[in-house]
Amino acid sequence: MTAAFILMAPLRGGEEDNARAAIAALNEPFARVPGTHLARLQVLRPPPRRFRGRTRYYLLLAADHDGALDEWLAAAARELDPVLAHCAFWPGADDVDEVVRWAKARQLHSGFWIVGAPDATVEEVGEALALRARLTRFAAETAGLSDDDLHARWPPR
Amino acid sequence: MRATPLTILSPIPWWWACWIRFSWLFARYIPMVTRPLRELSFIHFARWSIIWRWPADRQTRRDRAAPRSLLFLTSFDGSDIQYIEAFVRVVPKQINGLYLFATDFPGARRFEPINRYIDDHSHPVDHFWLAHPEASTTMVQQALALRDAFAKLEPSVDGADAQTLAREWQRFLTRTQGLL
Repeated sequence: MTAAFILMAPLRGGEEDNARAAIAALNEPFARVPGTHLARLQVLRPPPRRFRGRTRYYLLLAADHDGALDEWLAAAARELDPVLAHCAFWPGADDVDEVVRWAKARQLHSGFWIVGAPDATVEEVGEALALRARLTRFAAETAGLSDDDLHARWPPR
Repeated sequence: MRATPLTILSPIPWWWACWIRFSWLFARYIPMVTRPLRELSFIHFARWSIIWRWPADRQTRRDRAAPRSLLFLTSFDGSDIQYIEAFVRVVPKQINGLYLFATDFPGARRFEPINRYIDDHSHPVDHFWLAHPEASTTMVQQALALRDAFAKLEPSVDGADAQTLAREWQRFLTRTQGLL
């Protein structure tokens, strides 16, 4: 079952450009966080209410992932430490309990959602796509073969 | 096809936030609401969340200038124009049910005003990652359905002679041709 995690954490004052630079310097961090279906990172600033001055900058981290949140957070924190370090009160990636506590305090809960393939893990999706490619190739290669030749080539590889 | 991410922040009054939260209790169990959205097969995912307080952490000083907001996160196959057009055409009632009293929301009946609203309220995504970027949502759904169909075929041809295998394989291809 795919679960969602949405974090909206305020950045330390004046750190928005550094946070954006840190995001730009990342090298496919979510590829090294097991079970991540998709993820986004962005610096955003909510529009201000009238006559209330300026709003702060926030880091938005949102992901759909397999498995337990705490494990996912521990792996994500290691990869995203250079970005998360610009957030207020970031405890550092080393203490997993503190990371989980910090992240859950800033977590947003999705109230309504639509998910394309909610019952498959990342691994299952990968295997299914590979099988589909294999079967498509096998069907093309064996079209018009005799029963015996088809039998000799079975199973699809 | 590369997926497109979209992040939209919509300021909403407190009473509308209460209505949305209340409506979600039921909406997710009402097929009339959810089915047309699920049938928009180009959606990888779409999630809505209410931001009651900026920041959510109550130990941190409140950002009083930031309004209560409805956060919409989505990613989809194709362009944002196609996506918005499909929403306007297929699920205008559901969109109105969420955004009708959002600040400056023009209504979901016409493309141009809602396109402008989305332009004004979307925030650029700095980094976006997909585990299987080469696969559209439809491809993933087809691959999973094909996997299940093939799992049923395998035992029936295990150790079968050539004629039986050929017959079962042809039946399988006929059944699953839309998935390959």
